[in-house]
Amino acid sequence: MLFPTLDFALFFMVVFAVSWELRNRQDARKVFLLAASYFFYGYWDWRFTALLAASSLVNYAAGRMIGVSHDGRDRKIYLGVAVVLNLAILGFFKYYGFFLDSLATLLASAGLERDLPFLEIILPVGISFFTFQGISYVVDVYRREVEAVDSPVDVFLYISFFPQLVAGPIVRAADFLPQLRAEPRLSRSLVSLGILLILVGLFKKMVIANYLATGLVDQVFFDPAMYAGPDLALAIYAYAVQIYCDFSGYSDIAIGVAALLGYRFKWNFNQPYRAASLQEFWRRWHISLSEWLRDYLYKPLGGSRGSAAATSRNLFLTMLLGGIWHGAAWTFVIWGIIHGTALVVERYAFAFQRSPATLPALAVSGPGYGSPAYAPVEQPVKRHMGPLGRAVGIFVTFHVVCLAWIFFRAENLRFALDYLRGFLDWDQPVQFAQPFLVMLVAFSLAAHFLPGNLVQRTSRLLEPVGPLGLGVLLGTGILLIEAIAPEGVAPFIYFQF
Amino acid sequence: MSFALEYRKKLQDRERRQRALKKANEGFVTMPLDEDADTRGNRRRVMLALVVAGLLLATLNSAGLVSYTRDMYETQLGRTLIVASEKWHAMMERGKATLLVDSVRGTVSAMRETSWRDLRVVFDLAPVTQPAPAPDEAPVLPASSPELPVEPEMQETVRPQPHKPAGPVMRASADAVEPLSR
Repeated sequence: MLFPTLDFALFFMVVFAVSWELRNRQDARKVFLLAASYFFYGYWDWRFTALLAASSLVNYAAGRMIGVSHDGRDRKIYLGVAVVLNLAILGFFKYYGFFLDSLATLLASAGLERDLPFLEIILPVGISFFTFQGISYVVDVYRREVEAVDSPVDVFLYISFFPQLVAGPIVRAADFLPQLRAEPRLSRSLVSLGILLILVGLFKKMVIANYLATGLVDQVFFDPAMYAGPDLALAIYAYAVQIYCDFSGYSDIAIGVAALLGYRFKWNFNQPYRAASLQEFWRRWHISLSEWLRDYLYKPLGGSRGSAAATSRNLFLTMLLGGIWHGAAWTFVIWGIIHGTALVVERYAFAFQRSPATLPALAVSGPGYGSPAYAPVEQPVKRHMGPLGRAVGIFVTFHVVCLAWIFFRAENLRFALDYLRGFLDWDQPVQFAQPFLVMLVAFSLAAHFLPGNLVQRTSRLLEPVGPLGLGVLLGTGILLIEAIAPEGVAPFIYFQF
Repeated sequence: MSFALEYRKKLQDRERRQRALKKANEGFVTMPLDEDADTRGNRRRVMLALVVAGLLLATLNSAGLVSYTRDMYETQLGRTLIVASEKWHAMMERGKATLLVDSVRGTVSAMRETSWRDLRVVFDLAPVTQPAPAPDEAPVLPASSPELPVEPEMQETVRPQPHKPAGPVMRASADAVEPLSR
């Protein structure tokens, strides 16, 4: 079920009415929300609900066993088994075909052709997201950051809660489970923020992302060799805007829908293209994934506790694995390599800029604790960057991100290289730079420089509005979005991850 | 390193980490948490708002209802709903309730077709130069001439249609999991 459809609107109205009717019967409310979440997920393909249930069961059982065990070794074994099982499910559905393809190519190049057990595997929607949430739960229980939950319904609902089930944000157990135990409340501020976020998310997705996809990006990326520099440049800027509006639009709707049900999620995006460094970019882009990678990958790898070389290695590996998480393709691997390399280079450059004389000492202690997402490097950067420096930083960061987006979006490596080669040719006539599309890209990028809390401030204005006013606002907003947007509903980009 | 030194270093590390997190969280406003929320009143408020929004959409965008029911499965109920939605849509059209959506679509369509040359003309940056018609290319219908009568069937077909996107677009069907684009 897609968010911007009448199906979802009807579904949500029923869920909203019944779940608040069950407000005083917490257990019944949770069971109802769980059933609604499985219905939502099964709407694509009911068979995958079994996979979702199996994943939840593994994590619930592992959490219980870790929780009741006092032996450190046993706890470690339970954790290991749970993580391996989670990764095995993810690996089978996501990477099986890729590894067999690569193996077949390798064997063929060595003259050892074999019949390999290829399977036609359909990737279940949102598998990466619910797997990551499951891993997050068992690791947090192991680290004693959350208590193991007795009720299976709580764990099952945490993993399958429909607003964030298929494309995030990746919600942490420590943030969500306490909300399940508390009595749900619906305040005026949650209502106005929820409705506003739903409208903003729908506009980003249905108008901006869909127009740029159908009018420009899909056509250029379908065969980049046919186009020259200006069209390719416009298309990659358009893709940068499209993926932001598509993904952050989904997150906005998810946060808004959860708010109307009385649950609070953290923001997942914070104007990422105004970042003046790659580190800052990762604090603003897909924040829930950055935090996940920091806590469950970067830190276990050693984080920034070791030497400068070890820290750089950890940073690079984290981004490389982050790239592979997106999908089984060399293009994603290169996307991760570009981000990892840029982060490492930036880290050295900023350390050098801060104080060349003390570089070794700084490098050993490491200027950043946490992750690429939270390393406190912005402070020195800001100190040394005037407005001009910051502008240059934003320009350079945006273009590094765009370079990586080429690999992220291209169908395969050959197309990505064709795309890059096309930048050498600026002689062909421009085909796509029509005012409508150019303005769409320009305004969307300019919107990154509006005040960061504009949505919250606007939502405060809506708090005193009565039900009729809210209904007119919601109805007119959806009506205008529907009228402006291209016909049809395209799936969200991140559904495939 | 002594135990005391090690402990102190750990403590400092933790403080630095917390400072870093605090810094990174600046501008990252969490969702509001109101302890004294009037949940019952707000629930009623949202329910009413959803109903009002639904009525507004069913009235002003009745074409959307027709398109939705046509995508439904072939059942008796589905056929009944198609007929009902078409009747409703015809009624809304007669009452001119669909004009707003049609005019917005028309405006957006015109914006999409605007060229840089059109913009230059609008902003008075380029002269309007229309090639003079050749003597044997006189316009068939002068602007001021009365329009030719149109057959009733033709009138049906020339009604403004909703904008169709240039690329392939997936319908909101249950199995629409194949991505349109990445």
